Amino acid sequence: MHKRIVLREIPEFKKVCMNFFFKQSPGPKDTIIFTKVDKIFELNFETSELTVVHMFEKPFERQPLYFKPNEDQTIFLIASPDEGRHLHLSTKREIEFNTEMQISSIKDIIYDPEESQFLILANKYEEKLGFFVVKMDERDPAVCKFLIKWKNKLDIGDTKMFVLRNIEKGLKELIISFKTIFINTYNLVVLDISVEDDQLMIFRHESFQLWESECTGFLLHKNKDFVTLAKAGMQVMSLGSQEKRPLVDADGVDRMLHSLESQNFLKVDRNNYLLFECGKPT
Amino acid sequence: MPISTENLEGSIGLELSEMNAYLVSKIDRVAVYDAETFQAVDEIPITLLKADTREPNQVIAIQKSDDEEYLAIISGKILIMNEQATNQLFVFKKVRAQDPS
Repeated sequence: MHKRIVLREIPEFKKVCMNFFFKQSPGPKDTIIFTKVDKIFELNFETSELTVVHMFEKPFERQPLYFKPNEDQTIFLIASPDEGRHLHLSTKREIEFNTEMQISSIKDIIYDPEESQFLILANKYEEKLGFFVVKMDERDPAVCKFLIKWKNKLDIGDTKMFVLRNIEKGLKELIISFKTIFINTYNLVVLDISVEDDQLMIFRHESFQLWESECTGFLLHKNKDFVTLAKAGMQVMSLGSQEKRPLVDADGVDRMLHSLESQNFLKVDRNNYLLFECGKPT
Repeated sequence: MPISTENLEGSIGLELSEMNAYLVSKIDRVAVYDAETFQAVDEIPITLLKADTREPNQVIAIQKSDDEEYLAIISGKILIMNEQATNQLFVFKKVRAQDPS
C-alpha cells in the first residue's frame, strides 16, 4: 500500500460522489479529483492537501452519483439521478443538460474520446419510464441525439455502459447492461454504432435477476468478455469475434465458451437482432 | 458461463488491461483475477474501520489512473438511495517484480 487516508475525519468528504478520477499531469500522479453536492475539489494524497476546483452556482439537491470528465479534463458532466450539469472549467459555465433533453433519472454517463462526446443513459424521458440513451457533444450540450428511445414503463437499475471498438473490422459497439423491475431480468444490449444515423441492435441477452438484489457488470476489452457479479456468483459472456474458447467453469469442469456473435448465422436480414433468453445461468 | 459461485452481491469490478487482469471487491478485500483464465491470482486486503451504525463498512469504490500505475480504493458504507458515506482512501502503486535472472 502506498498511502492510507482516513476520510471520515475530513468534513469535505461528506456526501462525496464515488465516481472520481486521477488528475492528469506530466509529473507524478498524486492528485484525485472528487465532486460533491456543492463543489469539485482535488485531494493530493501525498500531502493530504485539499483544493477547491469549482463551486457550483447552485448546489445539487442530492449527492451526485455520476462524474465524468472529457479527455483533457476541462469539461465535466456531473449528475445526481434528477439533475445533470455540464461544466466547462475554463469559462465556469454550467448548463443543466437534462432539462433541455427532458430526461431524468440518470443512470450512467460515459465519455467516448473518439467522437468527443458523452453518452448518457436515463430511465425517464418526458416523465415516461423507459430506457433512453443520448449522445451529447462535449462542448455543446445542445448538440445531442437520442440513440434509443424505448418506453417500456419499467424502472431500471445497476446500469453500466461501455464502448467496444474493433479497429481491424471498423466496428464500434455500445454495450448497455441493466436490471429491470417487476420482470426481474438482467439485460445486456449490444448496439452497432459504427455508422452515424444508423444504429442497429445486434444482440440482447436476458437473464434472471431479482430487482432487490444488487448486481453489476463490466467489460474486459482484450477478449471482449462481459463479466457479471451477482449473488449467484460470477458469470462470463463472450461478445468477441472468436467463435469459441475453452474455459474451466465454477465446478472445475472443462467447458467451451461460445461467443454471442457465433450465432450470427441465424440472422436472415441485416436489421435482425438475436435475443438470448436465459432463465438461470448454466 | 458461471466461473464462480461465491456470493458477489454488492461487489465492484474493474479491468486492469495492462496486466490482463481484473479486480473484484469482496467486502474487506479486493481479489485479482486473470482475464484470460478467470482464475484468482492475488488478493489485496483492506483494513476496514469498525462500523458505528447498522450499515457495514465495505469497499465502495475502486478507480485506476490512466496509466494503471495507481489504484485508489475507498471503503465506506452504502446508504439508502444509492448514496455512499466514505471512510478511508487506500492508494496502491504498481511495483514491478524483480527479474530473478
